Amino acid sequence: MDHLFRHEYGRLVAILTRQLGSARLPLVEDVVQDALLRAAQVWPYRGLPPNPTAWLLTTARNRARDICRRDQRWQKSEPAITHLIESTAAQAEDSPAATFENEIRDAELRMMFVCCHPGLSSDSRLALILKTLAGFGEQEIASAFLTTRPTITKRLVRTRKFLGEENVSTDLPADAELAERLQTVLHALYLLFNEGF
Amino acid sequence: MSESNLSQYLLLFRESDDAPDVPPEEMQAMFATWLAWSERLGKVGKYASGNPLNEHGSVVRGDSGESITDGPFVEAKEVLCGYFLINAESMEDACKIAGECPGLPHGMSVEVRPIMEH
Repeated sequence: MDHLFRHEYGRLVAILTRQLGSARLPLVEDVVQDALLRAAQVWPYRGLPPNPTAWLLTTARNRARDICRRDQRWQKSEPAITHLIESTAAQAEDSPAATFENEIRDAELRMMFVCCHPGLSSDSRLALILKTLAGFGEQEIASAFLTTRPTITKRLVRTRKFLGEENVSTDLPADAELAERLQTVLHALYLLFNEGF
Repeated sequence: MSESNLSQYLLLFRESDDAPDVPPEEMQAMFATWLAWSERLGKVGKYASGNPLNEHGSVVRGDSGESITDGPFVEAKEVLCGYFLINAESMEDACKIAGECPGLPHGMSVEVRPIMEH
């Protein structure tokens, strides 16, 4: 239970980014944060739900749908997102636990490749991995990089902007590009362990 | 101790209405201590029920409810964020339980109100 929230943060960001696209990462991060906050408020009163991940995912999806309906920025793509959210929500509730777990693992791997896009600097990749997949706070990332929180905030904003502008695909790259990107993924993993994160 | 020796009390939790950006690890700590607290009370038969409350609602006033304002109270610094219905031996016991609320160090307050019997 110690790292439940940190762990779930990464899983939820990965699966929602897979479904909504890496260009919507800011929305995804917001709704995941909201879902965790909601869980922290509700679970102490009613106990842990039988499947915490499914509970969080439903809560985050509902929040995403509400924001899309309300927010002008998302108005244009709203019907598409709403449809996507509703169809995938039904899938998650229907699929057996094992399928659900596989889906999450698959999404986490894809997210790793998104984070390791060759267009990003090594520092940006690491910061993005720590923030989205590892569920670190910006202050913690700043401490790890021996820098200040505003620096990390700016770096993450630029990184998300890049993903949005490039509309980086969550599909795994093919053949030669896969090999090349795999190198950056391995390098990032090496740095993660080497830096003692 | 039989259940019949226990009376019911309502614990009303209030917190200040500014919601800070809480990183996952802090949320985890907050949540884990709260869950441990309610589970501990449950094990000794002292947790009856409880719910968190949305911070927004309405206040209805007037002879026939003609006045409806956004609530709880716009000017209030603290909002009611949840309640526990507990079983306790006495007001003293209920206050002792309230004193274990993990929100207290974070500026939360707990109001203890006995449920009227008979």
